[in-house]
Amino acid sequence: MSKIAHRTTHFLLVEDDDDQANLFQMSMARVGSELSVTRMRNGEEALSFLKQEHPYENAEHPDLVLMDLNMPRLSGHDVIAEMNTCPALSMIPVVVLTSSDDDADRRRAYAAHASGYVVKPIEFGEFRNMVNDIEDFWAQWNCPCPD
Amino acid sequence: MRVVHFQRATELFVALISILVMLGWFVQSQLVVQLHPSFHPMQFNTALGFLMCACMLHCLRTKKNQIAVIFAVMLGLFYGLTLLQYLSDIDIGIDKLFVDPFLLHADAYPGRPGANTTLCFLLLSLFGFVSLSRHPRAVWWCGLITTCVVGMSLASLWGYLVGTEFLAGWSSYLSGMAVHTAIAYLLCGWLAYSYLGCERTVSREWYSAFHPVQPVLAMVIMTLTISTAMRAWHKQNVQQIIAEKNALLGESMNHALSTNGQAYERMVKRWQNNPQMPSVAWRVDARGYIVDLPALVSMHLRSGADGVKWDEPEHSENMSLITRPTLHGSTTISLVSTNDDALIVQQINFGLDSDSHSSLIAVSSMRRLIEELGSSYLQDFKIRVLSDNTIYYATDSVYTLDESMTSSFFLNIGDHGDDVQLSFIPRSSFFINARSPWPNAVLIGGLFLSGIVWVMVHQASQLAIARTKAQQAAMLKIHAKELEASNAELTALNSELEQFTYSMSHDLKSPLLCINGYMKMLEDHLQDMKVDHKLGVLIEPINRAVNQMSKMIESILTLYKVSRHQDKHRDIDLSEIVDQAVSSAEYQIDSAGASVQVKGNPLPVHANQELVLSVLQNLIGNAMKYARVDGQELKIHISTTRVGDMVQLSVEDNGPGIEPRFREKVFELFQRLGDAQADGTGIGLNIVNKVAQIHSGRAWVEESELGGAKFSITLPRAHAPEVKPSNQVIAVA
Repeated sequence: MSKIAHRTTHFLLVEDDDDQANLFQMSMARVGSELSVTRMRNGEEALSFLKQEHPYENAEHPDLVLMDLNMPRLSGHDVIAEMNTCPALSMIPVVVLTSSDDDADRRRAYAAHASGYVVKPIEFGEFRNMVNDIEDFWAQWNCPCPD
Repeated sequence: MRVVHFQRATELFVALISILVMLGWFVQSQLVVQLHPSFHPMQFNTALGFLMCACMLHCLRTKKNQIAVIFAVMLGLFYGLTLLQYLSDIDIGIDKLFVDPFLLHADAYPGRPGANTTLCFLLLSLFGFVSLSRHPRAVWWCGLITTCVVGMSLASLWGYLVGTEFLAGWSSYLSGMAVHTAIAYLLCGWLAYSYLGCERTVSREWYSAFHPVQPVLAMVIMTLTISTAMRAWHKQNVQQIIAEKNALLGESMNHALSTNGQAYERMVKRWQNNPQMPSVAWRVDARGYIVDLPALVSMHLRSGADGVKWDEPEHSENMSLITRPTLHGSTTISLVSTNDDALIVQQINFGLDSDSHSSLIAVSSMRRLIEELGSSYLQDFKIRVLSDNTIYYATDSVYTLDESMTSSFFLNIGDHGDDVQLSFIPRSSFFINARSPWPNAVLIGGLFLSGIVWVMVHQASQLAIARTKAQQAAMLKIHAKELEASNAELTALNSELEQFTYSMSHDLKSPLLCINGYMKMLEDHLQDMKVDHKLGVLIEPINRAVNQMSKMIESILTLYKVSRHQDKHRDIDLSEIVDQAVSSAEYQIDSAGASVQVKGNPLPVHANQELVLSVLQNLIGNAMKYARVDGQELKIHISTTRVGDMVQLSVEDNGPGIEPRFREKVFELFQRLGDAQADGTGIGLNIVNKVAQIHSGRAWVEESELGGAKFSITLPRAHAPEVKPSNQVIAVA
C-alpha cells in the first residue's frame, strides 16, 4: 500500500465537549504519528483560526476540518456556510463529525458542500475504528488541495 | 328548588289524604270523606288505592323496582276485582271488606269506588308495569296512560268548578268522583310525568315525558266526558218536562172529576129539597150539567123499586155497558172500558120520596176529558190510562217508541184507588222539539278544538325539533372545532414530545460515548499496569449498563424515526428486504448456529422500506435473543403470504413461545418478558406494532407450528402488478 502524504497532516477539530475532544485526540494519537490535531472549542474560534485572525495570525490552514454541529455561539452549519463565502477556505475539506443522524442535518451539511458526514458511534470500539478510517483516508489516501 | 323535593312532597300529600279519608271512614266523619254534603264521598277502597299508588310511585322514583311491582300487582288485583264486580254484577264482598259505609249518597253499590275511579286505578297499575319495561316506546305508552288518568280527573274537577255536579260522575249511570279523588289523581298524574321525565328521558326534565299527542288525547277525553254528561243532563231535563206535563193534565183531570162530582151532589141535594119537582125539570136541570161538562155523556136516575126511572142517554149505546151499577153505598166512581173509550161512572146514592134506594149515575168519557183538557199534549204525547196493567184507554193503538221516558200520574178514580195511571209517552216529534244542540255542539266543538290543538302542538313540536336539531348541529360544529383545535394542540404537543425524546436520546449519546471510551481506556491502563483483576470485575457491570443504555437510546431513536417516516411509502419487493435483513444478521445467526428458512412468494408491498427492514431486524433479533433453548438447534422461519389486499409477513421460531396472557402486552412500550439481565429494551415489538399501524395493518403473536412464537405483521399490497408466484424456499445457514 503506497502512502501519498509526504508531510505531517494537520486536522482542525472543532468540538465544544472537552472530554470528547480529548477522546478523539487520544484515539488519533494512537493511530498516526505524522498527524497534528488542533482543537477549537466553538464555531467562532474555528472561524478566527481559519481566517488567521487574532490570536491565530500565524496559524496554517488545516488539511481537514472535523466539525461538530451542535455548538454554542456558532453552529457547525454556520461555520461551513461562512467558510463557503471565503474562496481560500472553501477549498478546505470539511467532514462533519456529529452524534446527530438526523436527515435534515445530513442534507444541510451536504448542501453546504461538506466532504463527509460521520455519525459518532456510542460504542468506543466503533469510535476507534471510525477514527482509524478517518485517519486512513484523510491523512494517507487523500490528496490535499495545493495551497 | 329541585324537582325531587316536589315529588317527595306530592307523594307524602297523596298518602296523607288517603290515610285521613280512611280514618274518616272509621270515625264516621262526613266532613273528611265528603268535604261537602253535595259532593260525592271518597270511598274507603279509593283511599286505600291512593295509598298503594303513592307507595308505588315512591318506589319507582327511588328505584325500588321490585317493591313497586308488588304495589302495582296489588293495585291491579284489587281494582281488577272491582271492575269484575261491575261487569258481572256480582258482589264478591270487597266493597265492605274493611269498613261498613255509613254514607250511602244514593250509590247503587255502597262502598264501591266508581267505575271511572276503578278505571283510573287500573291505568295507574298498568303504568307501574309499563314504566319498568325496557321497550323503546315504554315512555310514550306511560305518558299516554298518565294523560288518560289526568284527562278523566280534569273532567270531573271541571264539573265541580262550573257547578254542573253531574260531571263529577260523567253521567247518570256512573257513580260520581269525589273532588279530592280528582285532585289526588291529578297529583298522581304529575308524579307519573315527573318520574318519566326525570328518570326515563334524555333531557331529565319532568315535562319531557309529554308527547304532542297527549294534550290532544286529554282534550278528546274531556270532550267525550263533558258531552256524555250533558246528554245525560238533558235527558234528565226532558224526563222532568214530561213528568210536569203529565202531572198538569192529571191534576186538571182530577180537578174536573172532582168538580163534576160536586156538581152532581149539588144537583141531588136540589132534587131532595124539591121532592115535587117534576121529572121534566130534573131532566132540564140535568141537561144543563151535561152542557156544562162536555165529558159527561149520560145521566141516569134509578130507583130501587122499578129500576130505571129516568135516563138522559145522549150516548145510549154506552149505557148498555153499565149492566149493574152499584146501588148501595154513598158516592162511588169507577172506570169502565169500552171499545174506543173509557167511561168514568160516578154514582150518587140518595133517598128520594119513599124510595130510599135511588141513585144518580153520571157517565163521563175519558176520551172527551182528555181531548178537552189535554188537547195541547196530544201532538207530542201518546196518552193512555191503565190500571192493574190493563189499558183502559189509549190515544194511539201502536207503541213502538222507547217507553223508557214514559211518565205516569195517578188519577183519583174511586174504586180503582191509586191504581189508575195517566201515562204520557213522548212522540218522536216531542224529542225533535226537545232536542238540545249542546251535547253535540260540545262534542263537535271539542273534537274540532282538539284537531286545532293537535295541528298547533304538532307544528310547535316540529319547530322545537328543528330548533333542537339546529342547536345540536351548531353545538356539534363548535365541538368539532374544539376537537380540531385540541387535536392540533395534541399533535403539536406530541411532536414536541417526540422532538424532546429525540433530543434527549441524541444528547445522551455524547456523554455515553465518553463513559464508554474512558472506561475502555481505564481498562487498558489497568491491564498495562497489571492491577488486581478484581477491579475488572467491577468495571464489567459498568460496561454492561453502558451497552444496555446505548441499545435503549438507539431503539428510542429508531422509534422516533418510525414516527417521522410515515410518508415515504413506495412499492417494494418484500423478499429483497427479507434477504437484506437476514444478511445483516448473518454473523449472529452463524454464531448461534441457527437456521433461517425463508418461505413464500416474492410479494411486492406498498411500504416504507426502512421501517419494514427495521421490523424484520427486530423480529429476527428477538428470535435470536429469546428463542434459544439449550441443547436444541434454533430454527427461524420467515414467510410471506397474501391475505386479501394485504401481505402477511411472519417470523416464527421453535423457542419457548409466549404465554397467551402476554400476547397483547408484549407490543406495549417498554414491556419485557425476560429478566433484567436479558438483552432487550422493551421497545422493539412496539416499533413493530407502530410500523403495522402506519401501514394500516396489524401486528400480533400466536403459537408457531415449530412450537415457539409466531410474530406476524400485515402490510398493504403494492399497486403494481404482482410478481409471478413461485414457491421457492431459500435456506440460509
